[in-house]
Amino acid sequence: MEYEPEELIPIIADLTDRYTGKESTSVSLNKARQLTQAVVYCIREYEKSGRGKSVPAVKDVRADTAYENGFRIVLYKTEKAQERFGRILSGFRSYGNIAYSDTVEKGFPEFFAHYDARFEPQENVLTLDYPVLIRSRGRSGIDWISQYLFFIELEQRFLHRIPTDYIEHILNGWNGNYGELLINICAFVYRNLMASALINRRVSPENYSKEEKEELTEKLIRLKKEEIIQELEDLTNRLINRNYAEDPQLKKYLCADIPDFYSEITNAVNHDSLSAVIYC
Amino acid sequence: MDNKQFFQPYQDSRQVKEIQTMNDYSQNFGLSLAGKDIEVLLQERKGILKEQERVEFRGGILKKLIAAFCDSAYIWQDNYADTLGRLQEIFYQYKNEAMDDLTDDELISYMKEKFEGDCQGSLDYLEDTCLEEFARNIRENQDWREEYWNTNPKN
Repeated sequence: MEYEPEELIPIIADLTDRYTGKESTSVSLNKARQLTQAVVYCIREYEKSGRGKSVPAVKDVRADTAYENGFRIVLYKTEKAQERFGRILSGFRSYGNIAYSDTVEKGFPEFFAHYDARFEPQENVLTLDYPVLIRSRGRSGIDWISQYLFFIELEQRFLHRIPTDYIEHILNGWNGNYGELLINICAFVYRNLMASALINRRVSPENYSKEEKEELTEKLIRLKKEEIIQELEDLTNRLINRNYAEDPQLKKYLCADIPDFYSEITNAVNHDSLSAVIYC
Repeated sequence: MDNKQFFQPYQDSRQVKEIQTMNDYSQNFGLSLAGKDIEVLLQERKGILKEQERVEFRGGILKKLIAAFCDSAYIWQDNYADTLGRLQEIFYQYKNEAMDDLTDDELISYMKEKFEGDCQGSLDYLEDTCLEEFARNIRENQDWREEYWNTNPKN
């Protein structure tokens, strides 16, 4: 943000007038703070849109122009997010997980009904209970919502290629209450595929044999962290290349789970509780 | 002088001039504010806004208070500036108490009617009794507008 407060105050004042309909000369400090954040959010959206593109740098445009351009970007992103949501919803499967279904099927229609691009573009409105694999890292408003929906779309693309019966079977076998847990369905399925692949085991709805469990445990103990992570990345590459037309975004999204998966599965192995992480 | 220093005096001097123009109207009722009075009122306004945690980007509420109250039977030249100061304080306080569910005009209109009626010019009664009850009704979600305008003798 390269503007001085004096350049922003007239924009905030105009937005305040618009908010009060010019029927109140003053607003509460909280409301003023919210409106200030709205202005800053839009300017930042404009600022971000210029990175690596032929948009004039923020310092070269007036603050009010940057704000209006940023506001138009917020509207555009909202429209695009709505289109994406429509695509997701048409084939959405929650696999019996309540948080997944509530967040997507109930939460997002509410979001689009209540999102206020003009006065509160920085608000998510939703709590987004269903955890995706990549965190918001300070993103908020439609910027984070768009990204979140993009992740959900990737997850659905990944899950749709796998039989629903298999997914629900391994979820249920792993934890009969999975429907009520705040877990990432995609990560659970991905981890199970990776665990099988690590020992060349055929993907199967059956439990692991004693030997298969021992083989997986032995491998996870024997190999160094870097070696396991490298192998998981290679296996993910193969999985994506064969089944998902080399989708680089899906690959990147799934690979984001590898560090957590490694930590959890090696910890489980050390505590003889492999079944806490995968269905086995 | 940096931008911030420049900004503030410019705003203040402009506001003093704007409020001075209201003297043309209030003099019809024998009331006027000297430049010094206006500066004091504007200074008080800053303190009230800070105390009430409110933000005002443009001119304050003084011009509207002057327009509404200068024909009051309970205000004369000697108590004019002090009364405006109290009215300004009460106004911002009750904007908060009413949770911003009132426009400026609605609040001023109610204050004026009570000041001239039930309060008979008592600012304490206006602040502690009339507006307290009014704000409570608003907070309790009663349809105060309907109740108020139905009992307003002017309507």
